[in-house]
Amino acid sequence: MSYRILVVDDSPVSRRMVRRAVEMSGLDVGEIIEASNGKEALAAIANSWVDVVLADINMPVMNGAEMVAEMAKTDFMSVTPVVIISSEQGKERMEAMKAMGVSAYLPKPFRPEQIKEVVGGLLRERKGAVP
Amino acid sequence: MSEAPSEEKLIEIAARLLAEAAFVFVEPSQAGLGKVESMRVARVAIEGSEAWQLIFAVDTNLGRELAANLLGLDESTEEAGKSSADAVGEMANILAGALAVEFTQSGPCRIGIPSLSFEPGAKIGAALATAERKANLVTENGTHLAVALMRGGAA
Repeated sequence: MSYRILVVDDSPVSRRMVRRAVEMSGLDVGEIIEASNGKEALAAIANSWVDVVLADINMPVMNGAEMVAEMAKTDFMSVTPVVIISSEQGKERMEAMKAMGVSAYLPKPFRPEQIKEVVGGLLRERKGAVP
Repeated sequence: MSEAPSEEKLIEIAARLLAEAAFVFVEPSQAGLGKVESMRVARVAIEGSEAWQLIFAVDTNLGRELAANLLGLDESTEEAGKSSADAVGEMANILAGALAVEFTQSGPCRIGIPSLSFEPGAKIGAALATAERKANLVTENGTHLAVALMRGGAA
Protein backbone atom coordinates (compact mmCIF):
# COMPACT_ATOMS: atom_id res chain seq x y z
CA MET A 1 0.00 0.00 0.00
CA SER A 2 1.37 3.41 -0.98
CA TYR A 3 1.23 6.14 1.61
CA ARG A 4 -0.13 9.67 1.32
CA ILE A 5 2.02 12.23 3.10
CA LEU A 6 1.21 15.86 3.88
CA VAL A 7 4.12 18.32 4.14
CA VAL A 8 3.30 21.57 5.96
CA ASP A 9 5.73 24.49 5.87
CA ASP A 10 5.49 28.15 4.86
CA SER A 11 8.87 27.97 3.10
CA PRO A 12 8.67 26.48 -0.43
CA VAL A 13 12.36 25.55 -0.17
CA SER A 14 11.76 23.72 3.09
CA ARG A 15 8.74 21.88 1.67
CA ARG A 16 10.83 20.81 -1.30
CA MET A 17 13.68 19.68 0.98
CA VAL A 18 11.26 17.50 2.96
CA ARG A 19 9.64 16.20 -0.23
CA ARG A 20 13.06 15.32 -1.65
CA ALA A 21 14.12 13.54 1.55
CA VAL A 22 10.86 11.55 1.61
CA GLU A 23 11.35 10.55 -2.04
CA MET A 24 14.95 9.52 -1.32
CA SER A 25 14.01 7.64 1.86
CA GLY A 26 12.77 4.52 0.08
CA LEU A 27 9.35 4.67 1.73
CA ASP A 28 6.45 3.44 -0.38
CA VAL A 29 4.99 6.87 -1.05
CA GLY A 30 2.02 7.21 -3.36
CA GLU A 31 1.47 10.94 -3.11
CA ILE A 32 3.00 13.89 -1.31
CA ILE A 33 0.70 16.86 -0.88
CA GLU A 34 1.68 20.27 0.49
CA ALA A 35 0.23 23.03 2.65
CA SER A 36 1.84 26.32 3.59
CA ASN A 37 0.34 26.66 7.09
CA GLY A 38 -1.70 24.79 9.69
CA LYS A 39 -5.03 26.08 8.40
CA GLU A 40 -4.38 24.79 4.89
CA ALA A 41 -3.21 21.49 6.39
CA LEU A 42 -6.44 21.02 8.38
CA ALA A 43 -8.45 21.61 5.19
CA ALA A 44 -6.34 19.04 3.35
CA ILE A 45 -6.78 16.41 6.10
CA ALA A 46 -10.52 17.09 6.27
CA ASN A 47 -10.88 16.56 2.52
CA SER A 48 -8.88 13.40 2.00
CA TRP A 49 -7.00 10.60 3.75
CA VAL A 50 -3.52 11.45 5.00
CA ASP A 51 -1.26 8.76 6.49
CA VAL A 52 1.19 11.10 8.19
CA VAL A 53 1.74 14.85 8.54
CA LEU A 54 5.26 16.32 8.43
CA ALA A 55 5.00 19.89 9.75
CA ASP A 56 7.09 22.88 10.73
CA ILE A 57 6.30 24.82 13.92
CA ASN A 58 6.86 28.46 12.95
CA MET A 59 4.37 29.39 10.26
CA PRO A 60 2.12 32.39 9.67
CA VAL A 61 -1.71 32.14 9.83
CA MET A 62 -1.70 28.95 11.95
CA ASN A 63 1.50 27.50 13.38
CA GLY A 64 2.35 23.84 13.95
CA ALA A 65 1.37 23.83 17.63
CA GLU A 66 -2.03 25.39 16.88
CA MET A 67 -2.56 22.88 14.08
CA VAL A 68 -1.84 19.94 16.41
CA ALA A 69 -4.21 21.38 19.03
CA GLU A 70 -6.98 21.67 16.39
CA MET A 71 -6.34 18.12 15.16
CA ALA A 72 -6.73 16.81 18.72
CA LYS A 73 -10.33 18.13 18.78
CA THR A 74 -11.48 15.89 15.91
CA ASP A 75 -11.57 12.09 16.29
CA PHE A 76 -10.28 11.11 12.86
CA MET A 77 -7.62 13.83 12.80
CA SER A 78 -6.41 13.05 16.31
CA VAL A 79 -5.21 9.61 15.18
CA THR A 80 -3.20 10.99 12.25
CA PRO A 81 0.47 10.96 13.27
CA VAL A 82 2.24 14.32 13.16
CA VAL A 83 6.02 14.59 12.86
CA ILE A 84 7.41 18.04 13.60
CA ILE A 85 10.38 18.92 11.40
CA SER A 86 11.84 22.12 12.78
CA SER A 87 15.00 24.10 13.34
CA GLU A 88 13.93 24.57 16.94
CA GLN A 89 15.83 22.04 19.01
CA GLY A 90 15.11 23.16 22.57
CA LYS A 91 14.37 20.23 24.87
CA GLU A 92 11.45 22.05 26.52
CA ARG A 93 9.89 22.83 23.14
CA MET A 94 10.20 19.22 21.99
CA GLU A 95 8.68 17.90 25.22
CA ALA A 96 5.81 20.40 25.05
CA MET A 97 5.03 19.36 21.47
CA LYS A 98 5.11 15.67 22.38
CA ALA A 99 2.79 16.37 25.33
CA MET A 100 0.35 17.93 22.84
CA GLY A 101 0.24 14.66 20.90
CA VAL A 102 3.02 15.05 18.36
CA SER A 103 4.33 11.59 17.44
CA ALA A 104 7.95 12.52 16.75
CA TYR A 105 10.29 15.47 16.41
CA LEU A 106 13.02 15.72 13.77
CA PRO A 107 15.47 18.62 14.04
CA LYS A 108 16.83 20.28 10.87
CA PRO A 109 19.05 19.49 9.09
CA PHE A 110 17.81 15.93 8.64
CA ARG A 111 18.75 13.03 6.39
CA PRO A 112 16.51 10.75 4.30
CA GLU A 113 17.49 7.80 6.55
CA GLN A 114 16.05 9.64 9.56
CA ILE A 115 12.80 10.20 7.65
CA LYS A 116 12.69 6.50 6.81
CA GLU A 117 13.29 5.44 10.39
CA VAL A 118 10.85 7.84 12.06
CA VAL A 119 8.09 8.06 9.44
CA GLY A 120 8.41 4.40 8.42
CA GLY A 121 7.96 3.33 12.04
CA LEU A 122 4.85 5.47 12.48
CA LEU A 123 3.34 4.26 9.21
CA ARG A 124 3.89 0.62 10.18
CA GLU A 125 2.27 1.25 13.58
CA ARG A 126 -0.69 2.94 11.94
CA LYS A 127 -1.11 0.22 9.36
CA GLY A 128 -1.18 -2.33 12.19
CA ALA A 129 -3.79 -0.30 14.08
CA VAL A 130 -6.23 0.18 11.19
CA PRO A 131 -8.73 -2.74 11.10
CA MET B 1 21.49 38.33 31.27
CA SER B 2 22.02 35.49 28.78
CA GLU B 3 25.47 34.99 27.28
CA ALA B 4 25.81 34.69 23.52
CA PRO B 5 27.79 31.72 22.20
CA SER B 6 31.46 32.58 21.65
CA GLU B 7 32.70 33.56 18.19
CA GLU B 8 34.52 30.23 18.02
CA LYS B 9 31.21 28.46 18.70
CA LEU B 10 29.45 30.63 16.10
CA ILE B 11 32.06 29.69 13.49
CA GLU B 12 31.94 26.00 14.46
CA ILE B 13 28.13 25.81 14.25
CA ALA B 14 27.94 27.78 10.99
CA ALA B 15 30.69 25.73 9.33
CA ARG B 16 29.19 22.42 10.44
CA LEU B 17 25.62 23.21 9.42
CA LEU B 18 26.54 24.79 6.08
CA ALA B 19 28.51 21.64 5.26
CA GLU B 20 25.87 19.18 6.55
CA ALA B 21 22.80 20.88 5.09
CA ALA B 22 24.11 22.49 1.92
CA PHE B 23 27.56 21.05 1.15
CA VAL B 24 29.08 24.53 1.44
CA PHE B 25 32.49 24.53 3.09
CA VAL B 26 33.67 27.70 4.82
CA GLU B 27 36.54 29.00 6.88
CA PRO B 28 37.02 32.23 8.86
CA SER B 29 38.02 35.28 6.84
CA GLN B 30 39.75 38.48 7.87
CA ALA B 31 38.21 40.31 4.90
CA GLY B 32 35.14 42.43 5.55
CA LEU B 33 32.02 42.58 3.40
CA GLY B 34 32.74 46.06 1.99
CA LYS B 35 33.73 44.84 -1.44
CA VAL B 36 30.76 42.52 -1.90
CA GLU B 37 28.42 44.26 -4.34
CA SER B 38 25.15 42.70 -3.21
CA MET B 39 24.17 40.32 -0.45
CA ARG B 40 21.08 38.38 0.44
CA VAL B 41 20.39 38.94 4.12
CA ALA B 42 18.15 36.95 6.47
CA ARG B 43 17.28 38.15 9.97
CA VAL B 44 15.79 35.73 12.52
CA ALA B 45 14.61 36.66 16.01
CA ILE B 46 15.77 34.45 18.86
CA GLU B 47 13.52 35.05 21.86
CA GLY B 48 14.54 33.77 25.25
CA SER B 49 14.99 35.58 28.53
CA GLU B 50 16.27 38.35 26.24
CA ALA B 51 15.72 39.24 22.59
CA TRP B 52 18.48 38.43 20.12
CA GLN B 53 18.67 38.52 16.38
CA LEU B 54 20.64 36.27 14.05
CA ILE B 55 21.86 37.92 10.87
CA PHE B 56 22.97 35.70 8.00
CA ALA B 57 24.35 37.57 5.00
CA VAL B 58 25.65 35.85 1.89
CA ASP B 59 27.03 36.98 -1.45
CA THR B 60 24.19 36.78 -3.97
CA ASN B 61 25.99 34.05 -5.90
CA LEU B 62 26.19 31.92 -2.77
CA GLY B 63 22.42 32.27 -2.35
CA ARG B 64 22.01 30.51 -5.68
CA GLU B 65 24.50 27.80 -4.65
CA LEU B 66 22.64 27.25 -1.36
CA ALA B 67 19.34 26.85 -3.22
CA ALA B 68 20.86 24.44 -5.71
CA ASN B 69 22.48 22.30 -3.02
CA LEU B 70 19.54 22.29 -0.62
CA LEU B 71 17.16 21.28 -3.39
CA GLY B 72 19.40 19.06 -5.50
CA LEU B 73 19.24 21.37 -8.52
CA ASP B 74 21.79 22.50 -11.05
CA GLU B 75 23.07 25.94 -10.02
CA SER B 76 22.50 27.32 -13.51
CA THR B 77 18.75 26.59 -13.51
CA GLU B 78 16.16 29.32 -13.29
CA GLU B 79 14.63 27.58 -10.28
CA ALA B 80 17.89 27.81 -8.32
CA GLY B 81 17.88 31.56 -8.93
CA LYS B 82 14.22 31.93 -7.98
CA SER B 83 14.69 29.91 -4.79
CA SER B 84 17.86 31.61 -3.60
CA ALA B 85 16.21 34.12 -1.23
CA ASP B 86 14.09 31.41 0.37
CA ALA B 87 17.15 29.14 0.63
CA VAL B 88 19.07 31.84 2.51
CA GLY B 89 16.09 32.19 4.85
CA GLU B 90 15.94 28.43 5.38
CA MET B 91 19.66 28.24 6.13
CA ALA B 92 19.32 31.16 8.57
CA ASN B 93 16.44 29.32 10.22
CA ILE B 94 18.58 26.20 10.66
CA LEU B 95 21.46 28.27 12.08
CA ALA B 96 19.12 30.11 14.46
CA GLY B 97 17.72 26.82 15.74
CA ALA B 98 21.17 25.45 16.50
CA LEU B 99 22.32 28.69 18.13
CA ALA B 100 19.13 28.96 20.18
CA VAL B 101 20.11 25.73 21.92
CA GLU B 102 23.20 27.58 23.16
CA PHE B 103 20.94 30.14 24.84
CA THR B 104 18.64 27.64 26.50
CA GLN B 105 20.84 27.38 29.59
CA SER B 106 18.91 30.49 30.68
CA GLY B 107 15.45 29.07 29.93
CA PRO B 108 13.18 28.36 26.98
CA CYS B 109 14.10 29.95 23.69
CA ARG B 110 12.11 30.31 20.47
CA ILE B 111 13.00 31.43 17.01
CA GLY B 112 10.99 33.59 14.62
CA ILE B 113 10.25 33.53 10.90
CA PRO B 114 13.16 34.84 8.76
CA SER B 115 12.82 38.29 7.23
CA LEU B 116 14.73 38.68 3.97
CA SER B 117 16.37 41.61 2.24
CA PHE B 118 18.87 42.46 -0.47
CA GLU B 119 21.65 44.83 0.67
CA PRO B 120 25.08 46.08 -0.45
CA GLY B 121 27.98 44.42 1.38
CA ALA B 122 29.19 47.77 2.72
CA LYS B 123 25.83 48.48 4.33
CA ILE B 124 25.44 45.13 6.04
CA GLY B 125 29.14 45.16 7.00
CA ALA B 126 28.61 48.51 8.77
CA ALA B 127 25.48 47.21 10.51
CA LEU B 128 27.35 44.16 11.79
CA ALA B 129 30.15 46.28 13.27
CA THR B 130 28.12 46.56 16.49
CA ALA B 131 27.18 42.87 16.65
CA GLU B 132 27.79 41.11 19.95
CA ARG B 133 29.24 38.16 18.05
CA LYS B 134 30.24 38.09 14.40
CA ALA B 135 32.00 35.69 12.06
CA ASN B 136 33.14 36.69 8.59
CA LEU B 137 33.52 33.55 6.50
CA VAL B 138 34.66 32.63 3.03
CA THR B 139 33.83 29.56 0.96
CA GLU B 140 36.34 27.42 -0.89
CA ASN B 141 35.23 29.29 -4.04
CA GLY B 142 36.10 32.64 -2.47
CA THR B 143 32.54 33.90 -1.92
CA HIS B 144 31.89 35.86 1.26
CA LEU B 145 29.28 35.47 3.96
CA ALA B 146 28.77 36.51 7.56
CA VAL B 147 26.89 35.21 10.58
CA ALA B 148 26.25 37.54 13.50
CA LEU B 149 24.26 37.79 16.70
CA MET B 150 22.89 41.17 17.75
CA ARG B 151 21.39 41.85 21.16
CA GLY B 152 17.83 43.16 20.81
CA GLY B 153 16.02 43.52 17.51
CA ALA B 154 17.97 46.26 15.74
CA ALA B 155 20.53 45.78 12.99
